[in-house]
Amino acid sequence: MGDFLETDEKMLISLCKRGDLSAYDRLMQRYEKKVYALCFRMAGNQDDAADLAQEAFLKAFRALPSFNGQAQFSTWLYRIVTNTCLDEQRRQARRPQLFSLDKPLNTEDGQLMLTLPAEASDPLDTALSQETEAEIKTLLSMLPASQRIVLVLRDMEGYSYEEIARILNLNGGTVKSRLNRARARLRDLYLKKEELFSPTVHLKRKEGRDRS
Amino acid sequence: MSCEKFRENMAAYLDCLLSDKELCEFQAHLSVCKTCRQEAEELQSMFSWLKQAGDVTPPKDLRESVLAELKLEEGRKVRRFFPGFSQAVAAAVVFIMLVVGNLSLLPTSRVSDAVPMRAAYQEESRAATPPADAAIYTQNLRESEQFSDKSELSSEAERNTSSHRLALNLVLIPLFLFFAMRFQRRRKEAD
Ligand SMILES: [Zn+2]
Repeated sequence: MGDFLETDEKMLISLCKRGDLSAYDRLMQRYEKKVYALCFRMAGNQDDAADLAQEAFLKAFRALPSFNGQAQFSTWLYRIVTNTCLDEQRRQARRPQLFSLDKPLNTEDGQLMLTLPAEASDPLDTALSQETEAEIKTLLSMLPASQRIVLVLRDMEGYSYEEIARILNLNGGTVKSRLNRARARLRDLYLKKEELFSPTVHLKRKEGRDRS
Repeated sequence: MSCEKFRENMAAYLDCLLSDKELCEFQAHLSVCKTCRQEAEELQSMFSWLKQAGDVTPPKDLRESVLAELKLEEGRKVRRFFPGFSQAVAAAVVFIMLVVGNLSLLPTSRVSDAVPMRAAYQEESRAATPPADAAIYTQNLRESEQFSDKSELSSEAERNTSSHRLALNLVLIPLFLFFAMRFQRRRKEAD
């Protein structure tokens, strides 16, 4: 970040501390893409991601008076975002699971995945990338949240090990070992994905019950 | 180097973060250990699969909804610190209207207060007319005629303004009392 942007950001932050909402709008504008991307990778769907991003931005504004500038603002903000996402995961884990088409169904034999074929009207490449996108979302959701967050930060959003350590308040060694575990786990799932998405568990639209 | 120990460096290897020495060791192990080589290859292919994840765009109304919520909170905060805030504002507004309304109708009403006195003075001077004071009398009369001319002219307007003032007070005073009472009730509730 350039000097100008940095001083500009400091000014925005001090305005926000005094409750200036238009300054906060400008601050959010700078970070909304990265904040939303993190939330989306963690939640796996747009609605939940929007809720999480909104909650994180609200929390950040309320906590701004206690931001002393010792950490970088971005790090401080991403810490709030990741905590918001992890809290939500914990909350969901406590709630009794509802059967959902978007989430794997836990059975005695493991997780059962139901996927719907991509929209037939889409061009082939869009359909293919949509399918990959859905696969990525599904497999990511099977990782424990503490591993998923590290993998998302590193392999999808491209943060450095040091940044991840600061954001998650971990030491460098823990980040590395957690990343190793997360990648190994995702690789296992990735290699099994043909099985996971095999036609036998593929729910065809005409056979299946309606989405309702 | 054991495979277990070796794999601790896998993340750093894949992220090109190994030092030259570590990289040499790592590559040496890869060339002899098929399992670890396969693991590295699988991870690489998993990465290229993961890279296909598309860009993510935040919803257009994200910031807007955050700001809307914060504005709501701001209002709630004021109400928490100052119970009966809106009633107090309403009472204050009515009070200001009362003061301003009465003041703006005041200058002509001052004249109208003085009118009965002048009229009484005129009566008095007319009734008691000692000849010795004839000169004074005529002068007095002339003065009071001047007065009465003026008051004649303004009496119509005066009656209007005083009836306006009455209406203003009749409406605004009860309204003020209403808001003041509601404000007091709110404060009691909050305690
Ligand atoms: Zn090995």
